[in-house]
Amino acid sequence: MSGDEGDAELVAAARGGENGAFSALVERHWARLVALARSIAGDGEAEDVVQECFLTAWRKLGALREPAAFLAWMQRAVARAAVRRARWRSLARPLGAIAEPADPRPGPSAGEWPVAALLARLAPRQRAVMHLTVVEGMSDREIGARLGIDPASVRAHRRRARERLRPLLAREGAAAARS
Amino acid sequence: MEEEGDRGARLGDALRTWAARPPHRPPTAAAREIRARLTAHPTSAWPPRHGWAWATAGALVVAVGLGGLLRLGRSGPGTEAPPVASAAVPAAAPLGDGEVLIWLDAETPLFMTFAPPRGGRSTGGGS
Repeated sequence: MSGDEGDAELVAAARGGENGAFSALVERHWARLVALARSIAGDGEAEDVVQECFLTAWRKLGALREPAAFLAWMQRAVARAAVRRARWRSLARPLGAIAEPADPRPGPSAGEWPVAALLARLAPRQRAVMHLTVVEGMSDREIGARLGIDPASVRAHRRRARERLRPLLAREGAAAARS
Repeated sequence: MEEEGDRGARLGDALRTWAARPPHRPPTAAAREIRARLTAHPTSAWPPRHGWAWATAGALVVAVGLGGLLRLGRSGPGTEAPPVASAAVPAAAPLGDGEVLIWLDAETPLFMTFAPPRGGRSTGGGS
């Protein structure tokens, strides 16, 4: 998960001033990074967060020591920016009133988990850990490297997230069984 | 009744499906937008221009510092100190008893007056 084939060449070309190479990097990783930001900061903020991270990445491309690790570098930037954005949003709104911005696509049908609502009950870093564990399938060490925390903290975040979700899942399960 | 493990697995599947939804902006549109923003702000051009700005500022600081050092070298501690009581120094009023005049520089006199403590008995502290 540390790098995608071809990233090193694209990074080298972008460093050489090729705008097209950087655009290719954006196109390659956009969806994956948006998914990460969406799990952490929600639908309404995710794409802005990722776009800002790409703009910063362009300016700091010279500082990237391992061009092949471009994706890992971006995941780290996006995860941290999304956590910051989510924390800021939760400060700006009263706790408990945090609702996901309206998504024009149809919501979960009967029997489906309301994932966005469940994630909203977790702390931003717990959401990041859940996404990187479940969706990206990363090890605790890899997750720790992305979030700037040690593997033990990753395990603690995951445990707390599961503890918090357990009663909600039981309630959802009971509701699904009734319907 | 659904078991806890099943619920966890179902949540995992749901999270993966939820995360796999395509973004609102497709990758090509996002790349185009980012490229437009990069070309709209020339400061974002590669190579970054802040590097040159910082280098210029640094060179300026070094030049000013070197200039200051050279000037200090010319009038350093080894050279003769400017005369205190010369024709350039403005005339001061005659000093009274216990008065001291110190010239901080050619134009800045500092007058100090020493007097015994009130009551005529010294407590050991100066004034």
